[in-house]
Amino acid sequence: MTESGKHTTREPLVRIVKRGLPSTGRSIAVRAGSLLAALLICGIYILVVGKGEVTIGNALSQMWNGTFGIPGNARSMRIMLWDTAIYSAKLLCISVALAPAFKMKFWNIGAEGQIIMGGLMTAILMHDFGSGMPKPLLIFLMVIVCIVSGAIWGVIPAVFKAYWGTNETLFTLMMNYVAMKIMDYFYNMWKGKLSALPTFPEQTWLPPLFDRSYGWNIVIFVALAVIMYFYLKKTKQGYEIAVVGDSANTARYAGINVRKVIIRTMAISGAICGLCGGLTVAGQNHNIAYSAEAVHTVTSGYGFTAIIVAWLANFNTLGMILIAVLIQFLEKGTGQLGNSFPAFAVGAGNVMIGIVLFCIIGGAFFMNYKLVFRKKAHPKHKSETEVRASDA
Amino acid sequence: MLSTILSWITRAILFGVVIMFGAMGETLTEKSGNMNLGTPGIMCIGGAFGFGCTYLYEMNAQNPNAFLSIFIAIFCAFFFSALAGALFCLLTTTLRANQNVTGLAMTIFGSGLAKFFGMFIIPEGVVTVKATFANRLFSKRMPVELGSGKIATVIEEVFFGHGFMLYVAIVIAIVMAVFLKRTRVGLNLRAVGENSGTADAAGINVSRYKYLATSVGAGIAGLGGAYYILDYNYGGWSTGAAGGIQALGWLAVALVIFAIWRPLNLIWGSFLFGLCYWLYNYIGVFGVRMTSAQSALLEAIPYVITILVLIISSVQKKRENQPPAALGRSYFREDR
Amino acid sequence: MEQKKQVAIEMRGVTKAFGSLVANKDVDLCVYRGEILALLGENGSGKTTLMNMLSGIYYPDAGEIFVDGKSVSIRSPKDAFECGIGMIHQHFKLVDIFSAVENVALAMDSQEKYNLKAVAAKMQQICDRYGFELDIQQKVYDMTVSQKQTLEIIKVLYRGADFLILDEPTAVLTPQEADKLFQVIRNMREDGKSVIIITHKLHEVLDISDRVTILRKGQYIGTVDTKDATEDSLTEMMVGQKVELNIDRPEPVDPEPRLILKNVTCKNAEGIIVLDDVSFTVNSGEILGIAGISGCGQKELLEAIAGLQGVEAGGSILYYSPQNRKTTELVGKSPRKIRDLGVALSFVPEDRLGMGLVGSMGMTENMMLRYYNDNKTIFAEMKKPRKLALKIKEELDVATPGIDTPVRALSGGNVQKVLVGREIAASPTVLMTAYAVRGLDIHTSYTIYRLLNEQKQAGVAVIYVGEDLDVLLEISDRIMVLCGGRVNGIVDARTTTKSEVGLLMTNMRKEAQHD
Repeated sequence: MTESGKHTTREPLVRIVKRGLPSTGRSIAVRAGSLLAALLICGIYILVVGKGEVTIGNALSQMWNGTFGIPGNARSMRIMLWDTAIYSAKLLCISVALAPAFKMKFWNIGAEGQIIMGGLMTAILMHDFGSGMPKPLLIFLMVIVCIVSGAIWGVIPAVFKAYWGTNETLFTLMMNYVAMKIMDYFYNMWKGKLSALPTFPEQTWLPPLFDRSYGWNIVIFVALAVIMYFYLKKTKQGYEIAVVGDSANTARYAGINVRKVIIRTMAISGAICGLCGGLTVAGQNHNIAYSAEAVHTVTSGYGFTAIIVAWLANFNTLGMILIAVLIQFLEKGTGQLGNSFPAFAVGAGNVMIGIVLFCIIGGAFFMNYKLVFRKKAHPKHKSETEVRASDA
Repeated sequence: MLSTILSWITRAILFGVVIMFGAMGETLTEKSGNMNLGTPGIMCIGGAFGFGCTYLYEMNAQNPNAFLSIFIAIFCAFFFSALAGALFCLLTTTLRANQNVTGLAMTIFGSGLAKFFGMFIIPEGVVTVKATFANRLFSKRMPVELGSGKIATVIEEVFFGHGFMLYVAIVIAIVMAVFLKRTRVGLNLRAVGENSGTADAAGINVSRYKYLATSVGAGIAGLGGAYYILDYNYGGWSTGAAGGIQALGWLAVALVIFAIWRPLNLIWGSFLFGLCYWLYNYIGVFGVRMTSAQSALLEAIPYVITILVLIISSVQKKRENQPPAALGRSYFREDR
Repeated sequence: MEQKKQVAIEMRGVTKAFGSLVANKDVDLCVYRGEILALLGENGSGKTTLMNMLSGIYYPDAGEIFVDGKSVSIRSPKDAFECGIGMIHQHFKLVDIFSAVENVALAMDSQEKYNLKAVAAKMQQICDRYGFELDIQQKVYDMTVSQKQTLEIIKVLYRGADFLILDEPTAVLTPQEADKLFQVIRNMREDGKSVIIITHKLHEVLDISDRVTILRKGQYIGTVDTKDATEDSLTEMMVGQKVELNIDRPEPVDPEPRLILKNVTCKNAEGIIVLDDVSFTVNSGEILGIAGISGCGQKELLEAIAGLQGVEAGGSILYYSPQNRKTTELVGKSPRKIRDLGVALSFVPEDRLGMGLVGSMGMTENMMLRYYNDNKTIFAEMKKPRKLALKIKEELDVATPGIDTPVRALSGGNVQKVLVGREIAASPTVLMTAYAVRGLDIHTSYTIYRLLNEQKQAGVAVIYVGEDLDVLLEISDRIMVLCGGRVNGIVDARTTTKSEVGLLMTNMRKEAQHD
């Protein structure tokens, strides 16, 4: 009886137990904890790379200046804040576009391609038809065209998902690169023998607002976020999306046409992406760029970043704003850091973004699960056989 | 004419080797049910560390040893990539984070880390540094000579005119095919990726399999990055090289789908992708004239055929041709 | 005799909770070597959860497990295997794209050499010995349910488990297959193996087991020797005290046809006929009970009426409106279309959270499932659902922190109240319920019976698909018995007997198998 067999006789040291629904307090605590952990790791990274010459406070203030401008310096603040605003708004807009798809549990990884198609079709209008058309008509056409082309790019995978269950993650991912190559085609064709593609004629640009050509973009991007909030929360279609996302079976039971909802939602998701691309080309870049130069493209690579933003914000528009600004802070801030300290010039920004994202992504675990450690004292029962043995 | 075609094939094969490594790593990972969209970033890590370490070695050694140079490149590429894979697995398997989100974050992180590490090596003011010694070793042709006949030349060029990594890749693909199909561990791994609950009930340690497959898979993918720098890119590292690896990394992810998750298909699939990729340069062979702009459209071909494969296999609904059934899902035993 | 008995597995004071739901509370259980123990309890009494702690799927919150007298900690199925415990789950643990032999190899002892041919040979031996019929190279996705179960059993036998747990193994079997299975189980007992069979069917308990352990609502009630037990005594232990259910049964008033089904045939996704030429009438002001062993077409029947399941050509489901006596053909119409045509149909499906409700949503939003479209704007209707949610919470006494708490967090009984409340509030002409009281406590069950009877008295045609024959006999006016997708008879519930219905549930099988 006393031989120690191969059976384990102890409770495991740590067990993972699912928690009930996360409360607001716990959500905030977990997020705060994740950010603290991120700050700690980034801090160590900064200290090590900066060889101690760059303090964390120093680095943070540089990053602040790079994002929000040097405090007290009106000019710097104006430039930086506008820049941060437009890029945050753009990232927000794309995250907002993804929200309905994700809420429906449709993994639209194809925002990048949908943005490009919208931007490209707008660019074609600007490049080929821009000069011969009255401006209001041109702008009207640009908006229509970019919405439609983004929607088409989103609907194609949705149709196959709805009718044949084709894996949408892989499908939308591939669609990105097809779009990129199509854009490269036009880029190279227009560029011809020039070293780079010049900007499109100014009469095709969006009219300025707040003295900025991208002024309308900020307004529209933010407005879209507000509209999407109400769309998801209050409308019939938003409700249908939520039902389909939770259980397709329940949706069928309730008389919801699941296929229709999938296709319609992806049309909306793609349309917003397309609009974002179109507005970026017409209002901000006035140009398209070769896909290999990721930073300068229509998308700024945000088609991918927005996936992370939308997911982390749990489809909450307000949360998306916060996370979009955080990403801007990391992107632009580390850019500034690199300007000031050569050790951070290349790649350090993405490394730190990665660290922060990993901490937030990993930290979310503690929202829904908790760890239970082995209790020290364990009251022992006597087994029935032992009792019998002692009886005999 | 013949020499043009030969040069096309050679380039396609070089190209194919890069994405074959990436796709083999991703296949192994996906067989465990993990979809690692961080593969492009991990390949960057492999490229930066594989190149960087062997470069530091050859710069600092008086008489660099050929074996050591290769070993350091391969070991470092594999090791650091595998670490990144383990990190991915920590987040997705232990902490149950969403795989797509984690993968994309990993791509951002990986390309950043690669550029960052590479910058340490590049002296200030220089754009590209070259690991000449290692490049010579990696691009060294197989010592096979078949004489001067036309057919002999073709065979020599097509089958033996490449560095050793091609053969390593093919061997890995074959070993992986046998491993998945014919061994107990392979069977268990496939079970984990198909139905984690069943594998768990059968007494298979699901987490361990996921960790191992993802880490080894990431390591193999990382070799593709190292190969990209040390042979495909003629041994040169620049900040832009990371972008190049990343672009090919996405093609590797596509190749996995194209090959419907079968390692043997990766071999010819990767070469086919390579032929497509370089088609624009050689399309004159077919008597077609093409502007450089139109060549961009040719580059879209691999993605388009991948989409077609995806569509056809889902419309056909043949069970053997589907993605691993548990792909992308976290597994928690006590979920109800 | 007594001294020879050797304790194989013992559980002491085992407790397991899922959130606020306590599935097992302080349960004791003991199995001897060479015996068959039946684990008896109603649906939802915690039998499967308890056994999952032996097979390593769940880990107990408290309590101890002993195997061969040694305290063990079963943290994973692997640990369970090492203890010699093998479980055949109700939901099969098979890899679909693997062949039978690959599935067995998966569960192979790691010491054994990996050789699929040898595995196949040994499997064949097992098949021959017990008379299993199975194509060893067949892929699981091509198998029938009973073939899959056979494979599961072979898997455990192959692994040489000493202690076998079978979770409701006969639910999917024909009587002949069940008899064969029981013979296998007896053979294993002769080999000195211990078998625990989870069931809620009394005749099986009496037929095969040596002893019976009874659970009720997650708690240990007791263990008796089968030879001393009768159906009555076991029922008493299972349900508490021997109760006449005393469900009210008002007389139907002016029954008129509301639904007439003619020649309804349905195929499932695999193209197998699951509902075979079914014809019957549902009348207003009566409860039509539908009996049958599980998986005999009950689900498809209700879904066909609701427009969720396609009906083969030639079938017809006619709906008679009580207001204008207009008839509507329901076959070929979508659920939305059916509703738009003014057909007042309510449906309480079997899968409450997976079909009837949205688990992640609160009561209000679940009410919206029926009403969100009830206005002309683009905005979802929210006022009416909110009022209804408050009303249902009040009237049916739903225990929830608030009407916005996700219904997934509620207990089973409260979930069902939300669902039934919503469906009844739609003032249906026809009300269909599937296993409406499964897993509910007695009190809630009676609430449901009361609600159904109120509907009946209000002239609603009620269809009650149930599994508990006692309830069916007391609540229904007529009982239709389904067997293998066919109508095996419609009897008057006031005059029929339990044994008559029981026979109808199993007897036509032979005839049905001819085609």
